[in-house]
Amino acid sequence: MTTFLTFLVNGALIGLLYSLIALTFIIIYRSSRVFNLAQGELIVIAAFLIWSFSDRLPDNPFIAVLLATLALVVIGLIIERVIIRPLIGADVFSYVMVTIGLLLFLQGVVLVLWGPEIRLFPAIIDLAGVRIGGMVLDRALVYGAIATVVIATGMMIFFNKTQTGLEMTAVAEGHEIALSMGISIKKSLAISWILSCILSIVAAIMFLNGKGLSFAAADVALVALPAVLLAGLESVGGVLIAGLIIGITAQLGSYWLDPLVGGGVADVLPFVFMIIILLIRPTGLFGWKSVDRL
Amino acid sequence: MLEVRNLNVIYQNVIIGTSDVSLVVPEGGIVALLGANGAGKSTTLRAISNLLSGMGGKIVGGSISYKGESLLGVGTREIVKKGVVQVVEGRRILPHMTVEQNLLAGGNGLPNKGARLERLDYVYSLFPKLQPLKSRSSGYLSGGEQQMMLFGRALMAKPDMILLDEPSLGLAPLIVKQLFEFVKKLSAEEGVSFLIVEQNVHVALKVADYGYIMRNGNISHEGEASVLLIDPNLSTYYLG
Amino acid sequence: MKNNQLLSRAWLSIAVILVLIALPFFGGGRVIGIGITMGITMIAVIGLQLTMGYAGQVNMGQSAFMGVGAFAAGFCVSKLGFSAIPGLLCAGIAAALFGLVFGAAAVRIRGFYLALTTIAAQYVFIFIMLKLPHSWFGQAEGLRLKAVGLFGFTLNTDVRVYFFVLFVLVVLTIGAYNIVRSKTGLAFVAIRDQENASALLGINVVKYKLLAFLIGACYAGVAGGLWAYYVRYVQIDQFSLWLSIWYAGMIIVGGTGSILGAIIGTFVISMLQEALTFLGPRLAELVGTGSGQIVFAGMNIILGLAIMICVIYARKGLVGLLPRKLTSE
Repeated sequence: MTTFLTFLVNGALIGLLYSLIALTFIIIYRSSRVFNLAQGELIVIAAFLIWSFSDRLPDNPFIAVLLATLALVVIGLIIERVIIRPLIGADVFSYVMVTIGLLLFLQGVVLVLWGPEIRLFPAIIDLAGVRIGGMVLDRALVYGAIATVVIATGMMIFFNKTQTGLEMTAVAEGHEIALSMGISIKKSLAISWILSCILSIVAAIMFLNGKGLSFAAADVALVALPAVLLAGLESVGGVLIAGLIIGITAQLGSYWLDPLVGGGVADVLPFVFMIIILLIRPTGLFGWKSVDRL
Repeated sequence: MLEVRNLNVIYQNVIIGTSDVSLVVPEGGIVALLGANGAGKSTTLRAISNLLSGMGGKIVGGSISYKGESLLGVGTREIVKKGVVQVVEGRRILPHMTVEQNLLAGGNGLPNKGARLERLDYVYSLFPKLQPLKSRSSGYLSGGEQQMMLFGRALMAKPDMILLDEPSLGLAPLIVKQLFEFVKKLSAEEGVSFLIVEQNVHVALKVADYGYIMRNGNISHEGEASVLLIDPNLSTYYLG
Repeated sequence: MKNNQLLSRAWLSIAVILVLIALPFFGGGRVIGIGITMGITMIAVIGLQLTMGYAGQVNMGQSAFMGVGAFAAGFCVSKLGFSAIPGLLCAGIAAALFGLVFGAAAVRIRGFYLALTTIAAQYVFIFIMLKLPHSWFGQAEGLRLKAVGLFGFTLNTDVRVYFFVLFVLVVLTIGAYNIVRSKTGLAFVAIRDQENASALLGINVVKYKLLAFLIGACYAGVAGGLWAYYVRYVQIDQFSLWLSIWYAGMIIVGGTGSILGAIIGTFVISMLQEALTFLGPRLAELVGTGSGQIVFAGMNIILGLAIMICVIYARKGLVGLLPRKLTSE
């Protein structure tokens, strides 16, 4: 029974990690209506920046994280300005291909700057596991899960109750409407990228604390895509539930099916899920359906 | 107060949007811009608010000035700050936000929360029917309620001039009447000027002081609203 | 198109083909090897051009289709003793069936979501191939082939494989041009540019979306089969999402919506890759990483940049830079 429970709880924790990563996609989509497929690379860059700064400042992990955040924000804002901004209003093919191009480019840059070797990501969070009941859980995942819930709730409040958040939501509704109301699209874009970068830093820590880091870590973002779709591309609130569903289903699927097929279920199940979602309900559980009045 | 002179707009470098359009909206006045579909009315409004680029349009000649300052090349946001607010065509509400959120978003130019809440109270006092709806998701309002909300949203920005693009579209006659009564009231009590694009000629001319009729991208006729209203040739100015 | 324009293009094409036929006799083994790989890639990329460039259906799973073809051909040749052409037919048909499944999804799912579906399907494909019985496709080990037979010859030298690939490439390129000029090709473009309007005009959108994927996948399948004949070892790692992305990149750089664009794009990117491989050791010293890495990283950087620049600034790709007379599209 403990094993089953462990799978369940781990599923929830991993699911919340997916939620956090999904948020980095969603926040950017909301403001620019461009889906940045290269987001995973930003998380990897976040991780490597933390690693590099920690390497130089081994006794000050928090300063290292702070510096990494600043650096990532600068990079993110440059990407927003140079690459994403021209894509606003462009057709799907354009922004799918440009963000894929960005993905390739960033992956190449990461390889050139940091090489292919696996590095040890600093244990910013204590490595000792968290004991609950009979289970031992990854401490970084637990802290990260709590952080995700707090962040997602915070985002919901931000977008619904604060003036800036309202303006950014208006921008998400439609650039032209927002513009005609006097709202600054550029400000929305900048803020959303800054937020997304900060979340990427948190996700990097949560996901890699004390573990091996290599350029291949970007794949984690791909696995978070199903959570994005299930929540709905604009949904900040739905992202928690969506992540939990994907994470738990994947782990439970793994628990039951791995012995039958020889492993690997947890990695592929989210994608199967994704295809099903796309076939049945592409706008996700909480995405903005168009409210058509007849 | 608003002066458009010889405005020439083209779309995608080949399609003529407007050709030599000139009109004036005096301070506190209500002016109607009429014409059939495709005559260039919306194009003119978009040109004033600098909203042409989204549709591949650009101004290639003429001038637009407001209170003596040119609006050409000025960003839409600046134009709103100067006091010219447009309620664009198509009832563009923010459908996934509540009525109050829509209104507050419209007040983005106000300096602080206090100013916004004060302005919000003012808008509710003008449109008491909106208050009980304030937490309703705006996508689920009726057409008339939505249009009222859009008025209110425009007012949140403290405009001196409101550009209305086909406000009566799809609304029942009674609602349309109420809408235009608001226009008259705002003009009389608050001194707000209006430039109204309409296809509903009679209702518009009953409220307006002056009217322009567009056809094929230029102004085919103009005159005092009361005179136009009884002009037997009105439909020819429209259709040619 | 005027007759003399048609004629001059025909002469140009023949000249190019003659040069290609002569190539093995002048170039060394390496040149032949590059030629084979490039030719195989071109076939897959032309297929992708038909699906994405002409019909506007985003497809990030072309390498999975190629994998299906490779495994099918590999299976048929190594376990059933097929010869080259039946093997390719098998490959094409197997991949086409797969393509049909995607086409069916494309009817319901559009644009961005379709791209995501094809990405997801790529992973599902890999998973399935790894889990199917070992005797079928070898799971993680893959399949090994003996040299395949063709009309009594055995394709056991690179030169022979080269000519076979060249032959198939020419046939399929002519086929692609014919498709583009046919009713099907026109329907593709209509759907790409204005799907709703096309439906209203009476174009059977469902049928043509299915066809777009079917044909594109078929090309990829044939490419996969040829790959199996050349390398004689088919393994799942050869068909990754990255390959699909590279193919899409080649189309963008060469020019979306043009067969010639697909060919040029493949050529240019492949040549860049060769150049980078050649310079690899020297660059690696400069930067301090392993030489294999620098090629992979360098290609990603260059291709990524090329894609971004082309989409934002040079929509027509390299083909758009050519004088009008050479291109017909």
